[in-house]
Amino acid sequence: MKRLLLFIPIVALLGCQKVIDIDVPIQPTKITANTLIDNDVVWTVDVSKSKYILEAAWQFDSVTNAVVKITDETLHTTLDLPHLKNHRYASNQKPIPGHTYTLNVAVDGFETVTSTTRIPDAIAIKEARWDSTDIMITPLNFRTSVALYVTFDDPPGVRNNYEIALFGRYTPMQFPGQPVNTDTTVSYIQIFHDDPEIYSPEGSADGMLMHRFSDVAFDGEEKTIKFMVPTDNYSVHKMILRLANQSGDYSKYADTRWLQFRAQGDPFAQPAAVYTNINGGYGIFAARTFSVKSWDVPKQ
Amino acid sequence: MRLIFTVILLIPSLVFAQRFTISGYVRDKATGESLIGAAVLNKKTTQGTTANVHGFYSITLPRDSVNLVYSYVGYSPIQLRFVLKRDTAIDVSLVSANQLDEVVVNATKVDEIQETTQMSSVNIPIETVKALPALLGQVDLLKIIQLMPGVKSSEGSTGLYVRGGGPDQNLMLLDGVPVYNASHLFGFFSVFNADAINRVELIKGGFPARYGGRLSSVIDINMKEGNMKKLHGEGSIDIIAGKFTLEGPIKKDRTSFLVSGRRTYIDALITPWVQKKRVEGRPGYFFYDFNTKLNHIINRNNRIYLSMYTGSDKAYTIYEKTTNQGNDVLDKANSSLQWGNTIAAFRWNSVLGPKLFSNLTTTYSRYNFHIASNQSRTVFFPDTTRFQEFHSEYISGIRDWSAKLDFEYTPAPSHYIRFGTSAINHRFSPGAFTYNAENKPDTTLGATTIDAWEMSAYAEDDIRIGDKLKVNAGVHASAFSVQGRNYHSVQPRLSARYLVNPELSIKASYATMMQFIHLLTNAGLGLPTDLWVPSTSAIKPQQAYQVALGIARLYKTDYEISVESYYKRMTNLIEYKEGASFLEVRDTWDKKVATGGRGESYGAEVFVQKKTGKFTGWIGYTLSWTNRQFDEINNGKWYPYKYDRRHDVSVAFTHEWSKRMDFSAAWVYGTGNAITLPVTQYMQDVEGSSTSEYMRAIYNYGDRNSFRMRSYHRLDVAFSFWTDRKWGRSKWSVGAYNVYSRKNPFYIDLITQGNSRKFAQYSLFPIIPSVSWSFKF
Repeated sequence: MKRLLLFIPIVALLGCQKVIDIDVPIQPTKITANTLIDNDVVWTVDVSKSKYILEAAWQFDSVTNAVVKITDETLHTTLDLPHLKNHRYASNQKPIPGHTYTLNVAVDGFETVTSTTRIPDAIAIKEARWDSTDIMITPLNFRTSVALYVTFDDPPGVRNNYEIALFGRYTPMQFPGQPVNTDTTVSYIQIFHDDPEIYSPEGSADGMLMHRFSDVAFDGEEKTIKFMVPTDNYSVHKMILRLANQSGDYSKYADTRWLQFRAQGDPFAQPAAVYTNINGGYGIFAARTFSVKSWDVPKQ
Repeated sequence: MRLIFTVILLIPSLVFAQRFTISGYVRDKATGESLIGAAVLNKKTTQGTTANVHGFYSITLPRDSVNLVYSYVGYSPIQLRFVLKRDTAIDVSLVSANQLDEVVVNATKVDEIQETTQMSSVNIPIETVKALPALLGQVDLLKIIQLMPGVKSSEGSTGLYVRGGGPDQNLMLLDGVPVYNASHLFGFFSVFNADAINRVELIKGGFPARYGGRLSSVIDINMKEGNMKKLHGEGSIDIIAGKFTLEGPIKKDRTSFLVSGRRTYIDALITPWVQKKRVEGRPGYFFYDFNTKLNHIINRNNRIYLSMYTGSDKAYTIYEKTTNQGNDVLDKANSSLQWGNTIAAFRWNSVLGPKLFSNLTTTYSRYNFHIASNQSRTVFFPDTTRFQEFHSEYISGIRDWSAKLDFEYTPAPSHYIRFGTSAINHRFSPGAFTYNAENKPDTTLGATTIDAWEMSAYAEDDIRIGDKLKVNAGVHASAFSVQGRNYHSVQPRLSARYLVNPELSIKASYATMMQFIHLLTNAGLGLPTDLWVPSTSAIKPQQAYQVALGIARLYKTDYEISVESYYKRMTNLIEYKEGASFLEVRDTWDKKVATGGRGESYGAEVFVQKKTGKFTGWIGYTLSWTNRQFDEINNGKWYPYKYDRRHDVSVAFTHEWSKRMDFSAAWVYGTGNAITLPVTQYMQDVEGSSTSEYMRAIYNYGDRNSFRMRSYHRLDVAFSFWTDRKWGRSKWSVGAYNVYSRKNPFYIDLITQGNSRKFAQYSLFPIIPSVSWSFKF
């Protein structure tokens, strides 16, 4: 469809490109602080500087002399994050779900940037049930999928933003004559659904690797989602289902970042500003909290 | 009700005693075609009137001798002297200047620009439309309208942005029936076939009360009625399409017909190329349209018309391939994109009395957009065959049934009263996605259709107050009912002109408008994904008011000059949200839009037009500002609308060197479109991977539409060479669009060159030559 629609304009546009000068005023450089933190990893903050739009984008200047602090507003304690390498500042502590934190990044010669976020509570997966009698065969490639029902309770009265993903733990292929490889890797497994209550274009944008949605349609209710999972994940020996509860900031940032990514190169799209909650600078300070269910997969 | 109606009709008879009415039709002598807007003037008293869109006129004068002059631009006038002693019916046939030798033809006073109360309107002679240069030789009505001051467009598109309004705010009427999507070939051409059209009028402001339902403009197009005298045909062949029109009497002076068709042959032209290149998927595209009209005179007082239009565009790909994957596998994939309008109208004109004319219209209008995809795979096993198929389709559209009853009542030369009522049943189908597969039943998503009723009533009077002042006062009332929600509005309209001297008048107008339906459209091309949706409880009807002030002057009887300034305020606008793209079909329409927007537009327009003589054309200039404000966009701050253009100039003319050759040219200039560009970039983190070092830049944009594209300008030219044949006349036309191949900006993107970034501008059309051959008999 998209190709069909773009057929005429693209043909017409071919060969009609011309580099032009547009007088874009140089904006003052600001500090960028990025922390998208998960509840199961230690605090990290990436600190860099913004750049003029017409500079090459591949590298951003690292800031190695920043004073980075994270204050737990619930416990009234402050954590210093020393510089680790490149842009990164890190500590050896993890965030605590339900606590509110304030980020403070001070760099000589720049405005100090701050931001506050709350680590969301974990939402438990109540049930993950396979139904091997409910199968679907995808046309054309004859791929078979089986139903997986996932149930959880949505807390009432608050806007929760979820993300569901399924992972498989693989053992790499063994080839004759090579040393036995006992390592395992974890990768996403594609999962599909046709539940309109959890559909959003932004939330299903990652090729069915994960699904993000809010509880607008089922606030305070028990929610069961039926996913179809392809059965051709032959070397998987363990499956891990992950339900993440994202903070509102996290969700807004992910949605708008995806919108901007999608709009780039589309002559018919409206430009999209990416959400930022960093006062005095750019970037994001947001978190998500996981709950996990896993099970072993019998050898096929 | 009947009593009130009777009293209204009787009052003027009591007031204007000893007066009689002259009424009848003004037509073309050669074809019997109604001469819309023909002037009827009593030279003795300088009182006059004009023929309506059906050619009917009515003028009431004192019992006395009269000296009536019937005239129409491009026709030889007729003068009648007699003593008016009773109500009199006079039908007049005027002779076109083309049928005369060396006749000086002038319009008379009544229809001159400084005389009418209507301001902000342009009548475009259809012969001018046909004579001006055309992209790929395809004469296009909307492209000519885009050359008018106050009207803006995007490169190549037929979309119109009138006085800061959006493309959805234009009421396009073909024989009184709304046309919902006027685009062919992704908006590069319009659906209106100039060969089938008699007259077109553009109204940008000072809307008379009889019009309603849109905020920014009315484009009122009348099809030809069909030649009542003899068989007449015309047609043309150009680079991409051929068309043919035939009209004539079924029964002379009683019943006539008109049929007109057009089809592109792009699909036929590219087939050999595709075969030569051995392209696996065969693409194709065509559009066609077909107009037909029947016109029957029942008797002197009753006449009926039946008109129909149907047209469609189809783009498609056909793929078929056999491979061997152990067994033979046959894959087929067909996809198509099709859209089109079908409209039909039945009209019954009735002269209820010398002063009262009625027109009953029932119409049907449907716009459909359809995407279909069909994929199948057949696997040939040694002992069996396995076949699987997946079919999906997406359908959206709008369908209207309507009935309309209009009256025109002319109790005296100083009054021209119009009143009427209408009812429209809309059925919106904002999009249904259906798919099926071998192992699943048919599934349909989003197939909710929405029914709505739109009712309206109006009354207006064109009142002459003394010799200098003329006022058109009216009111348009409308109501809209959808999903249990009702909206209504009363919209006052007022236009006035004050005659400073016989050649100069001052005009002013005020109009409020309400629009109950919205169009979700892309900003540039007129693509078929444009979606009409109703007002809902969440999306309120759009409203606007507009005031305009201007002067109109006739200079040396040939040149019409108007200078106007206007201010327009709009509320409840909708706009795509940040990041939304009409190409993204996964989003539902209501999730893509920001609502409750406000808009303002103001500016000045200068228009100089010469309609008669060997040299005809116009110069237009617009100075304008147009801005928008949405809470969800640009942090709630006002920003320039994309089509905010400070300066807009158009020059268009045709010059008839001889009976055998003419030349035409059009030059346009416009300030560059307002665009949004990134001003800063910064490093992003990657979702779900706080330990990742992977980076991609995030762009920080400046204020919405705070930058400008480069200015737009181009020159189009065309030469036409006529040859007289035994059977009629033929014409070769050669021309070029964008003669000096200006790379006009269409889209700007950020590209990387080495270690730096640049803005790259993409253009659509370089110089495009055209050649066409046309004929008429």
